[in-house]
Amino acid sequence: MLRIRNLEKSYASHDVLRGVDLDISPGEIVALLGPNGAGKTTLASIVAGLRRPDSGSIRVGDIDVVRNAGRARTLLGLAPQHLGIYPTLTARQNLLLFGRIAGVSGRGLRDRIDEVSTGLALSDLLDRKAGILSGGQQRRLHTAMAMLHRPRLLLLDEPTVGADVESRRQILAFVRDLAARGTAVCYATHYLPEVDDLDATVAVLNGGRIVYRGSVSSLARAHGTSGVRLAFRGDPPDLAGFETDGSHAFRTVDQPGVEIARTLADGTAWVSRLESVEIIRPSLETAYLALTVPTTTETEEQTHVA
Amino acid sequence: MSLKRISAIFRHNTRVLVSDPGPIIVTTLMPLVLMTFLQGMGRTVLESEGFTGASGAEHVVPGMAVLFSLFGVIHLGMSFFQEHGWGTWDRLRASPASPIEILLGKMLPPASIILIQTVVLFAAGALLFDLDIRGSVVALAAMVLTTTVFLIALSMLAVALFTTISQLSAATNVLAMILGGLGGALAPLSVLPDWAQTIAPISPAYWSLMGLRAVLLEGGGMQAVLVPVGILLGASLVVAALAASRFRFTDEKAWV
Repeated sequence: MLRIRNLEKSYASHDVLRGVDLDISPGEIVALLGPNGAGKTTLASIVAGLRRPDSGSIRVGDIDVVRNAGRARTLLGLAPQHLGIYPTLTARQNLLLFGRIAGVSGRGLRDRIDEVSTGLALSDLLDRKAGILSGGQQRRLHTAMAMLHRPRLLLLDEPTVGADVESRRQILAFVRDLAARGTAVCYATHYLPEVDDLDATVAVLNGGRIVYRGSVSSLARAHGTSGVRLAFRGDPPDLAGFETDGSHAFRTVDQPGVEIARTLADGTAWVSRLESVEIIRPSLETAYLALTVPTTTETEEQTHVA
Repeated sequence: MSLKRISAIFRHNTRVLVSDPGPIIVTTLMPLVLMTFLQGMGRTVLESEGFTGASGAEHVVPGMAVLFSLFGVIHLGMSFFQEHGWGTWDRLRASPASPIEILLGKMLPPASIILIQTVVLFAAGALLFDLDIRGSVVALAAMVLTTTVFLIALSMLAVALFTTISQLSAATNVLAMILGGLGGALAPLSVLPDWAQTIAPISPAYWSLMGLRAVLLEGGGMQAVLVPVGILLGASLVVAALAASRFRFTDEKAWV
């Protein structure tokens, strides 16, 4: 449904996207991960036809977005990162606009509004002014406006930012439901647990490039790290090979059990202050951090350039 | 181009305008208040110009209608700046609506409001201020329509040029007073200083009021308004071309 090849975009002298390739199939949810400034929003904006790329190709279905953004937009729905609703109008009037623009009208439009408002728990709020809804309700309305017309490609840029737990659950459930009906979803997020909740595959964007694309399990296997984390009452002692953070000491090791046994055997002086021992297994989080946290050398290079 | 999409955006933007009617009420009620104060002055000046039996409404009604239509430039400007402030501009751009559909859908509601406001003022003029339309109603409608077309073009230029709502608001107020005053909307041209009378034709309000006076005071028909209509349409084309050359859908606007 979405096919991106060698996409490049820069602002002034800053390269935001440097040869991005990405495919999303119908019914697939791709969690687009990456640190702030990685280019996730720029990528979504270009796919939605809001910005032009410097080079590269993007196809939504069989439509070239660069040459025919208007036609491509008939196939997609976008919920930008920043909230976008009409506060002086009711939730229903907000939905009506985007339904009608997408060519849905009459009974069909009423049915879609019923469907999306039920799925996102907006049914009782439809005739309230959008401006007086709570933050979570506004976020659900904002997301509903992108989904109302059942787009074939849905671009969601951090759709659960500021949403409460229940709003987040409802948004994720509705996204899964849309995908089950064949919508391809590109879901940019910083909340890693959502990736599992969505049963999504992963694309990690860092430094303007997709540095990993695949399933969560392969990502964890390939890049996840294991380690040992010790929590102390008071400051951690000076342990060889461990990094400290507050009252915690952490060490990356291949065999955490062996490391724990070795460390505790030497710990006669501080073991009374030890509060907990945790084995860190390879996970999406550790893999993500391994892929995106700059190495010491990279940080030094960036500092030097700056 | 889809009429359905234009209609959807038109209806939506009309709802947005009506949902916060303060500015519309002000630009409709204020001229009525001012007409009450200025009608006597209008009658005196018109009689001095030889229009015996004039009620004064023949000056104050078109004068206030044109002046407050100029203030109406803010309606379209606000419509664009609100979209940016509410975060809906990018959503609209990412929708299937084309740029021309978005522009038409957004321009038509403020144009309708300017037209309705003018009709209300002329109707109030006839009912409350003894306004007598001596000439052709068709010619009067032609003047009102071409004035509105010019104001929409001017609104688009203002949207293209300014980046904050404060700039737009200040510029609209200043421009309305200068163009309106110079064109004879406040006081008739005959009582303006000589230098103002000399440069008055640079104001579109001058041509608008010239056409309206020809209909209201001199009983003119279409023939009498051809020149002002032509000049206003020409000015609209120039201003619209300038707006088109400066307006960018990707420009950022600030609702401050």
